Amino acid sequence: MPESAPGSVSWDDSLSLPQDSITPPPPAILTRLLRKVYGNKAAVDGLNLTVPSGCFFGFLGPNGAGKTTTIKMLMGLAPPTSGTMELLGLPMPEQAETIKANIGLVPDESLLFDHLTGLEFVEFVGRMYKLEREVARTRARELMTLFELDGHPRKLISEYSKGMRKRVAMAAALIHRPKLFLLDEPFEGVDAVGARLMKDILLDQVRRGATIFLTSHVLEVVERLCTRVAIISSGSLVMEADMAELRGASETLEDAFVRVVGAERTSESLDWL
Amino acid sequence: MLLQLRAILWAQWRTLRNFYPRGHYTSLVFTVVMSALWYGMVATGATGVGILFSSPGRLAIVERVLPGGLLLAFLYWQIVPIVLVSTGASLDLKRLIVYPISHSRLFGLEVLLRFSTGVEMLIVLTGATIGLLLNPAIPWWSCLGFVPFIATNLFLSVALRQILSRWLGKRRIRELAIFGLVLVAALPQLYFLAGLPDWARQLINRFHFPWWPWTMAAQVVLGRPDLLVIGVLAGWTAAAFLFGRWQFERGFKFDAEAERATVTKPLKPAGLLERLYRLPAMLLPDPLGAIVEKEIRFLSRAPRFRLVFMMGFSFGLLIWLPIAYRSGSDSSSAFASNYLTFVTLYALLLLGEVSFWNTFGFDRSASQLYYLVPVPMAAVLVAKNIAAAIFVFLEISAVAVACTLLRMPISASKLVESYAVSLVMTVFLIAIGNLSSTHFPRPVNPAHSWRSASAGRFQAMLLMIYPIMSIPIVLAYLARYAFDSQLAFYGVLGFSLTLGSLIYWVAMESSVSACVQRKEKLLATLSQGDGPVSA
Repeated sequence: MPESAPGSVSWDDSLSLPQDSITPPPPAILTRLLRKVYGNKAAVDGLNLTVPSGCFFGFLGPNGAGKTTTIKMLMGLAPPTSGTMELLGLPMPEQAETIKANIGLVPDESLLFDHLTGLEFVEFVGRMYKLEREVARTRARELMTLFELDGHPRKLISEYSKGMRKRVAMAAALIHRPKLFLLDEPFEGVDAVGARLMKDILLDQVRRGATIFLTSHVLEVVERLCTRVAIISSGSLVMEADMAELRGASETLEDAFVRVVGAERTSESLDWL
Repeated sequence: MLLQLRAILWAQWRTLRNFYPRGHYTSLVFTVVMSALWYGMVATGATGVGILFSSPGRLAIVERVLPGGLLLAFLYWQIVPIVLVSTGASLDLKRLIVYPISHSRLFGLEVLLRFSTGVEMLIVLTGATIGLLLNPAIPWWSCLGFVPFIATNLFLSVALRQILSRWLGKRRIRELAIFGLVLVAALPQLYFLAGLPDWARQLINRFHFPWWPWTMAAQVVLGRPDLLVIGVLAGWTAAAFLFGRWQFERGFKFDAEAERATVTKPLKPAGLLERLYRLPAMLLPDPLGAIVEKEIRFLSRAPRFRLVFMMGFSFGLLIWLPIAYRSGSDSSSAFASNYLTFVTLYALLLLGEVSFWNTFGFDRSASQLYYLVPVPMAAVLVAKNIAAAIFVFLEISAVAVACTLLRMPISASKLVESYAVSLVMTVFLIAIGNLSSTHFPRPVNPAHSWRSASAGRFQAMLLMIYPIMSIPIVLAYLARYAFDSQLAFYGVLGFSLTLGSLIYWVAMESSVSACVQRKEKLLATLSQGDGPVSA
């Protein structure tokens, strides 16, 4: 995070969770036998996941594997069919309000408000996290400048490009200095400069002790940023490993991904292609 | 708590403020004028109530009418919004659930938003309150009796909305629920035309109960409260609160996505329906055939379209039926002898909302595709028109079958006449529809079974367009009446069809040109979404 501009508000007022200073922090995310069924299909099937606190965690999987459903369950957007979840050491949904106060979310696009400008949306999110109006407004302005979204102050989110929408969602996720980030494809459609900026900010957040739970299809990004990865396929966890282990096994993340997901298909069977 | 509630209301205000100044002045002016007319009428009524309640000499009348008046207010608050297929402004919980805001706060905000479903009643009750305060024969505190009555209404309104939302979120039940509600809308007309049947009178008498909230509230308002009355009224309010809170909580646990999920079945060979879907592609060359097939598949799967299609041959039939039976005693009456044509034309008007006026608004992602694939926009519009015409034909056939089942007298000549009249009307509707679809597009969620599908500005224009488009039909009937000749009737219809085809051709040119010139605006409009509070 860059230094605050003169006249900017302090960012050192993050919400604190009750925590013993001697014992190690609980896992940022802990799920046990988490299951979500749609119709007769299990989108997530008995997911046991442990995301250590302060970790940059990559959650990978092919399309329809259950990544977004998992994030939706973690945020309380979709109630699980069965299983338990703990976020930041607190049970979800029992302690939902406290948990949500400490989470920054970059969701799929449906949760943005199309008829607000980017600045209005980020300020709105800040106020939903109980920041004073002036604080929320000042931080929103700073974030819009940081993400280079301040050039078109009257532009509505509905008029934003895909990359701009992701950037505004990321700005909104940062405004209350959360302890845990749930990021659903945050780099999708973002240009190289924007992606670099977002990566730097996220790495800064990990350095200050935040945990990042990231889903992405861009394996190179995950490989470079994440310290630990898990791969989900057809709703079940098929691999969980430290990136250091993978690097030690001289296997790229792409190789490991294709191996465990079993998706080595080629276009050779289509003669016309 | 206040910080968050203020933030939500602020976001909604900004949403509205951002929406109107961007080229929506006409609809804003239209909305303001219509609202001023409607609420002016309500305010006049409220003034009348205030004058009645302020006069000590008319206390006997007030005593007689107050319980019934409060019952009407209760029914208006709870039922009219549903009958009008509108649930007012409400929180879009999906967008707010990710923030650390407690359910009880959201409930509080939702209760406040319920005022939006009964603003008219609030105005009338305000008139009554002012009247009571001015009446020296009634103690000043008596108007406080309205407070628990209003609270009861708001809490029940929340519960009702939640129940309705869950019904609408369920597969299969959704259309049936809306269909049932819409049929309920026909009941008042049936009542006024046919009267209340004996069994209904007996049922109402059997449920006579002196402790209803409106009766209790009337007791307090008339300055005659005792502990029992106050206790019962408070009990109603508490019960309504608990019921509303319970239903609101159930709304949080409801997973619409899971409810709508389909059960995956193994692939079966193409059935009859699948073969019907493929029929246009067998008769028409691609890309026309492909787009017609896609339109038929899409529309028949869109809940909003299915509902309107069903209403055409059920609701339409039901609301015109009492008039037909009444005038049926005089078999020569114009309505009785042309009943089938009346109902089919009414079905066409209903179908217009989903078939003609906003053809790009339903399938928004497909609209983008049409600009990307090498298909002329004229072919896209023609394909959409063919699909609409197919559904019009099916609708008329369904109306005819329903009439036959109800043993309405339908001759072959009347059936042909209905098809002919509908054909002419359809050509005009489609021609104007192409223009409105390209000039007044509106983003519509095809999964929502209610709310208007066409743009507000265009709805105002429809008030003029419908009568003008009916002129050729009226002229045909006048020709038959004047010359007492079927030949004259069909001659005028034939001329109208030629004229309609010419208008269609000219409108097509203009629509295609608008598609090209307004491409960006059209796509931008169709990609818009909602704010935190949806109306």
